[in-house]
Amino acid sequence: MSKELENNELIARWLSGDLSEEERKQLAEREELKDLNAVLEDVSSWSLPPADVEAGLQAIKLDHSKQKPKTRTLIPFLRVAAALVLVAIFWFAYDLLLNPSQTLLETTVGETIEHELPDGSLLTLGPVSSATYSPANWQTERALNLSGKGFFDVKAGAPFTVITALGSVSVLGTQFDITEGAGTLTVRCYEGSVSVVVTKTEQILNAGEGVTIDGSGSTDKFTLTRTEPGWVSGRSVFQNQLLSTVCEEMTRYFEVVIELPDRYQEMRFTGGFSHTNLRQALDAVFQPLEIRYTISPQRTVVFE
Amino acid sequence: MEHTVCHEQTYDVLYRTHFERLRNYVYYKCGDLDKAQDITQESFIQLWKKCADVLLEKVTGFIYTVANNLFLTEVRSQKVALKFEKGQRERPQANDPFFILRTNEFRDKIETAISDLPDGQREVFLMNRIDGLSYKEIAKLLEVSETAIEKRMSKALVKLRDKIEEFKKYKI
Repeated sequence: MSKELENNELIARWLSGDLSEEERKQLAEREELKDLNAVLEDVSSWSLPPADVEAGLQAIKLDHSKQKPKTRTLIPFLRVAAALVLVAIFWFAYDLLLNPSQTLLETTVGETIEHELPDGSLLTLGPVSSATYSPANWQTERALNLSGKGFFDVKAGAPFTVITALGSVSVLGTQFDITEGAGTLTVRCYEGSVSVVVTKTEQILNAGEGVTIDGSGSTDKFTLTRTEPGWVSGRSVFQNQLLSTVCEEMTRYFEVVIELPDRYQEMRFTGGFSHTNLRQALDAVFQPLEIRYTISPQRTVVFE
Repeated sequence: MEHTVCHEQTYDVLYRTHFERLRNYVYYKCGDLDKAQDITQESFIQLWKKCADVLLEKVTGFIYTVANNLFLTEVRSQKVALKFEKGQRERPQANDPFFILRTNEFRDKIETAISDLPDGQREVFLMNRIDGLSYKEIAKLLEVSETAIEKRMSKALVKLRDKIEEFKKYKI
């Protein structure tokens, strides 16, 4: 029932009145939407205390008078130079328009972005990650370079390929999640099926399956327990993963250095942490493993 | 000069137009009205400092991004509990088909359910409901696609619908 309402954003369009005749008829029958509508109308009548805009503006004005932005008067020679620079910029921009190059997406610690690709497929790019693709060639070749983490919701159509440093992943229309870094590549397939190619060996993943591959070629297949990667909704979840991988994941979400001693590197962790609070995240990982740690003022995690 | 952000009258108009909505947006994220006020003010100060570099059509993108970054560095770890002014309703009538939905107790539950939505869904839902912005307008402010907004909104609506049914069952 819920799935059906979320499909094609049906329920969102129901609210904005952007439905086809058929969809309207189909939804008119539903009692629970009448309840929802009554609540939504009520919520629309709620408000917040008005902001004192004029007082705020006055406060800024006081600051303004102290530091006016510099206005420049250009001497004639500089004007000519400026005009030349402008021409050069326009020419460059024009050239860029004719030969559209790569689109680059980048995120820093704790940041994720949702990005719609030219065919309507959606990419959720995880923190400390980057992706590049060529919008102009997208029609002929759906290929994208990824370093870091990404969750893909791919529209059906021509093959869709994600190239990472370690190998490439291709699909026909599906949902999958990639984590790449520190010499390992983890792919989880949530819908449809995907093919993972690393140094010429191919692995086929069906919905509900995942695989971790490292540089030495060792592969580890596992079964998924969720229908969407946790990190998209604010949690990172692990199933029997190396503790070093878990620590690396943590540094994607928090400005922190984790000095994990060699003796802990090979330990395995099953569980998860939330992206909201560093101390809670560390406790969630290290307490079950009975590992003691301290956080230094320089945001470094050290172990006894 | 007239059509740049550095022009004082232009800046004033921008401030008056966008201040309250931006403050509401930050409030939806953090649930602290004072903090939301400070972050919004700081975003506008940044806008003034960078006024020579920010094109007029990029202003909303700029202030929403600055505010979001300030939110992320300053407050993000807190759990939010939003409070709204709900006005006085006439006493609910027992023959009203939506009687249960009109009680104050129920409204408080809805308020909590909204607070518990994930950040992205909550802010989109409230920008639409409280500030009356269309999906298209929200998409422009947050610099994402309209489909992405509709997706978040769908998720929020389905969750609320489930909550309403759950509360009703509990009531009966």
